[in-house]
Amino acid sequence: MLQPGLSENEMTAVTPALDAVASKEPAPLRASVRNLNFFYGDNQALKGVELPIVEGKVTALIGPSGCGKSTLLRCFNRMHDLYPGNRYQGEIILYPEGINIVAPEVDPMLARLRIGMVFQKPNPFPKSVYENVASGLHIRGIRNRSEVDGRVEAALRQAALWDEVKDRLQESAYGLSGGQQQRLCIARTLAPDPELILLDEPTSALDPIATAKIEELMDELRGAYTIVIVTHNMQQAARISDFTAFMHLGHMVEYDVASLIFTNPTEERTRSYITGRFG
Amino acid sequence: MKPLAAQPSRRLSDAEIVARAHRSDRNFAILGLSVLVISMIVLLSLIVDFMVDGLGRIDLDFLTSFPSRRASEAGILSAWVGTTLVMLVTTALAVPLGVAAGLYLEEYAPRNWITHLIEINVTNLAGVPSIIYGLLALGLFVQSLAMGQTILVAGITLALLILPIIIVATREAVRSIPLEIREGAYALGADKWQTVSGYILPTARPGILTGAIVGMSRAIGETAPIITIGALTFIAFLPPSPVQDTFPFINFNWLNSPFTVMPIQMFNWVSRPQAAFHVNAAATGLILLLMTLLMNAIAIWLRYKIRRSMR
Amino acid sequence: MVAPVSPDSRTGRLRLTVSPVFLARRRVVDRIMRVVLFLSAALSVLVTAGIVYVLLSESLKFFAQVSIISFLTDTQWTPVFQDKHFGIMTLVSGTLVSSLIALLVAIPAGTVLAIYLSEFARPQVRETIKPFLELIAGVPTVAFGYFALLFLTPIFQIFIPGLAGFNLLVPGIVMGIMILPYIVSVSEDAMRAVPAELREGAYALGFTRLQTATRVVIPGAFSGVTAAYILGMSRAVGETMVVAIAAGQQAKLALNPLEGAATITSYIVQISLGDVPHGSIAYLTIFAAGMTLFLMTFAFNILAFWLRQKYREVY
Repeated sequence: MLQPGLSENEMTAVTPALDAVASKEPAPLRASVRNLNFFYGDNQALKGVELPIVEGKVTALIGPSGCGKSTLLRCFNRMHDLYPGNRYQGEIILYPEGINIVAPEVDPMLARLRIGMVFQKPNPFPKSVYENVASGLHIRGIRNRSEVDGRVEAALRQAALWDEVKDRLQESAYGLSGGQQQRLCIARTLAPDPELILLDEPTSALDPIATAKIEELMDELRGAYTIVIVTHNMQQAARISDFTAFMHLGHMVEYDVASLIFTNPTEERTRSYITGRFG
Repeated sequence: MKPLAAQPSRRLSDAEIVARAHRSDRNFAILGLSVLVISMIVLLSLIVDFMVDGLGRIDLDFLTSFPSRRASEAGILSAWVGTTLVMLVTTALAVPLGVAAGLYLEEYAPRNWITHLIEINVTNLAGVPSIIYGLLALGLFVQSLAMGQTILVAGITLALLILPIIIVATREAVRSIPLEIREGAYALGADKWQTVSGYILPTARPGILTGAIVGMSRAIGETAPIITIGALTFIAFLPPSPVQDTFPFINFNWLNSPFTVMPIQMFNWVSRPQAAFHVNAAATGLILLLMTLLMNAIAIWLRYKIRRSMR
Repeated sequence: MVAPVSPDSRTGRLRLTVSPVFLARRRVVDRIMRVVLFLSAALSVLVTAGIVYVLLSESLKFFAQVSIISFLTDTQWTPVFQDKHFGIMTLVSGTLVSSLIALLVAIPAGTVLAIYLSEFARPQVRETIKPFLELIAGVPTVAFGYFALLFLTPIFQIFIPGLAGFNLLVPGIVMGIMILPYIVSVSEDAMRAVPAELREGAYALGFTRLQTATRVVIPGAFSGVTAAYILGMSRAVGETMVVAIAAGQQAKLALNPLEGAATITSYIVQISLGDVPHGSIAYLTIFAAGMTLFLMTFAFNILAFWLRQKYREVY
C-alpha cells in the first residue's frame, strides 16, 4: 500500500513494516525496538516487543489499559531507572550511531539528553514561563543569554504558544490554562532540540478544544521531529499518526501504516479492539 | 423530662437514644472547647502578665544600656547584640547543614542500615533535652577543644540543637513535592544534583523556610545550654564589631568574644530577690516573647499559604 | 559562547549537541554534592556520638571516685558540702514528681483536645485552632519560668495555704501546659491514622461520635497515643528553665510537691552558674547527672519511636 510522499527507501520500513526490522535494512529509522522485555521486579510487563520508529513520522501506540504502551514509551528515555527493581532485556537502538539505549552500561541521562518527553498531566515547574522553556537548555549548560532567548522564542513559536505568552514570559507558569501548560511542556521539550519526542497520553487531562490544538500542533511538528505518542483514544491515533502499533498484554500485536491498522487489521485482537469489543 | 435512670425497665425509643447521643456528643464538644479556651487563657494571661510587669520599663535607654548593679539603670544592649550575633552563627550553620541532610535522606539515601541508623538518630536527637547539648558543648568545645565560652561555641551548640527541626522540615517539604516535577526534570536530561538543586530545592523553599523560622525561634529562647557552657551573665561591653572601616571591612573577631543573650539576661534578673530586677526581667521577657510569637506567626502564615497553593 | 551544533547525519539538519566538557564537569559536581550531602546527614550521628562520648568519659571519671551503688541508693545529694553525698535518687525524685504533675495536667487535657480536633472539629475549625496551640509551644521556656514563679505561684498560694514560694506543683502544672501542644499533635496524628472504614463501621452501628472515639478510634490509635504520653514525659523530664527558676534548688527527696526541690536539670544549671573548677568532683557530678537524664529520655524516646512505628505498620 503506497503512502503519498514516501520514498522507496522509506517504503521498505513501512510495508510490511515488521519485515523491515527483521531484515535490518538501512531504513530511515530514528530508533528501533528489538526483542525488548521489561520487568517491574518479577513482573514481566513487556514481552519480546519489536517496533520501528520512522524518522520524521508520528508513531502511535494504542491498546487497552495495562497493555504496556506507557511502559514501552518510558523505556525509550529510561524513566524506569528512577525507581529500583526495574530491568530491561533486549534492545532499543537509537540511530544513526546505532547505540542500544537500554543497555545497562549506557547512562540513562544520555538517553534523556537526546530524547524528550511530554507527560500525561501538564507538569510545568513552579517557575516563570521563560524559565520553564529554558530549563532543558540550562540543564545542558547553555546559559548564553541571547542564544537561550532565541531558542526559547523558537520553541514557544513551534509550540504555537508564543503569541499567547510573549507578554507574560516572566509570570508563573501556573497562571496558564491546562492546555497552555501542556503546550508549554511541549515547548520545554522542543527547546533543546531532541532527536525523538515521547508523548504519554498528552491530551488525556485536557478539554476537547485544548486537545484539538495539541493535535494540530503535532501535525505541524511532523517532519521536523520524530514523535512517538501513547494514546487511549483511537480516533486520535487515526487522526494524527503515520504508523500505529497495537499492543496487548505486553505483546506487540500489530504494527502498520495507520490507515491500514484502522481499516484492515490483520490480527483478530486488533480488530476486536478497534471495533470497541474490549478495552 | 424525668431522669432516664428512674425508669430502668422501659426500653428507650429511637428518638430518645438519638437525643441522648446528641447530648453526650455536645457535652464532649463543650469539654473540648473549654480545654482549648483554658489553654488560650493561660497563654493570654502570660502575655498580659509580661505586658503589665514589663511594658513600662521598655524605652530607648533600656535598649541602649549595659546591665548594671542598679536595676533602674540596667539595660539589655549587650544581650540583644549577643542574641543577634549568636543567631547569625546558628542560622549560618544549621540551615545549610539541615537542608543538606534532609535532601540526602529524602532524595539520595539508599534503603540500607546506614540510612536507617541516621533516621533513628535524627528522631532521637530531636528528643534529647536541650541541657544535654549544653553538656556536650561544655565537655567538647569549651574543655577538650579549649574554644572558650564564646559566641561561636554558643552558635554551634544552638545549631546542633535545632538541626533535627530543620532536617525534619526539609524532608516534609521535599516529600510533598509532586512526582511529576521530579520526572519532568529528569526527562529533560537533568542529573540528580541538577534536579535537586534546580527543581526540588526551589519548590521546597517555603516549607524549608517555615522550618528554619521555627528552629530559630526555638534557638532564640533557649537558655539552658548557654548557661551550661558557662556563659557569663554580667557583660558590660560589646563584642568587636563585625564591620570595620579598613580593608577587608569585615572581621570575625566577634566570634571569639564573650557574650550574653537575652534569655540569660532575663534569667539572671529573675533569679534576683529584688522586685526592681524582676521588672527588668519582665521587660526582657516581653521583647523575647513578642519576637518568638512573631516568628511563629510568620511560620504559621507561611504554612497556611503553602497549603493553599498546593490545592 | 554559543552552544555547539552539528548536522544530523540522517536528515542533515543542524542539531544542538551537548558539550562533553560540560557533561564531565556536571558529573564531577554531582559526585561531590552526593558526598557533601551524605556527610551533612552523617553529622547528626556524630552529634549523638559526641554526646555519648562526653557524658560517658566524664561520668567514668566520676564513678572512679563514687561507687555506682551509693550513687543509686544514697538518699542525700550534697556534692558541694563538706560531708559529700551523691544520691542521684534525690534529684530523680524532684524530676519525677514535677514531670508526673505535668502529665496529670497534660494527659487528660491533651487527650480531650486531640479527640475533639480529630473527631469533632470541622476541618476549618481544626486548622484555625492548631496554630494557637503551636504558639504555646513557641513561648521561650524562660518566660514560662517567670510566669510560674511570679504570677501563678502567688495566685496558687491564696488557695493552697501550705504552698512554698519555690515548689514543685506550679512548675509541674506549667510544664503540663508547655507539653500540651506536643501531646495533642502526636496523639491527633495517631488518631487520624485510624482508617475511615473503622469509623464508618462504628457509625453504621449507630455509635455516637464520642462512642466512636472512645471505643474505636482510641483503641485503634492506642500505641500512638501512648507514644504521645511517653514523649510528653520525656520532654517534661528534660525541661530545665521552669524548674530552675520556680522550683528552688534545694536537693532533697521530693516527697511534698508543695515544697521546692532540685531536679536533675535545675541542679546542672545551679552548678553551671557557680564557679566550679574543671575536673573537680562537683564539675563531674553534672555529667553523671546529665548521663542519668540522657538515659531516661533516651529510654522514653526509643519506646515512643517503637510504638509509633507499630501504628504506622498497622495502617
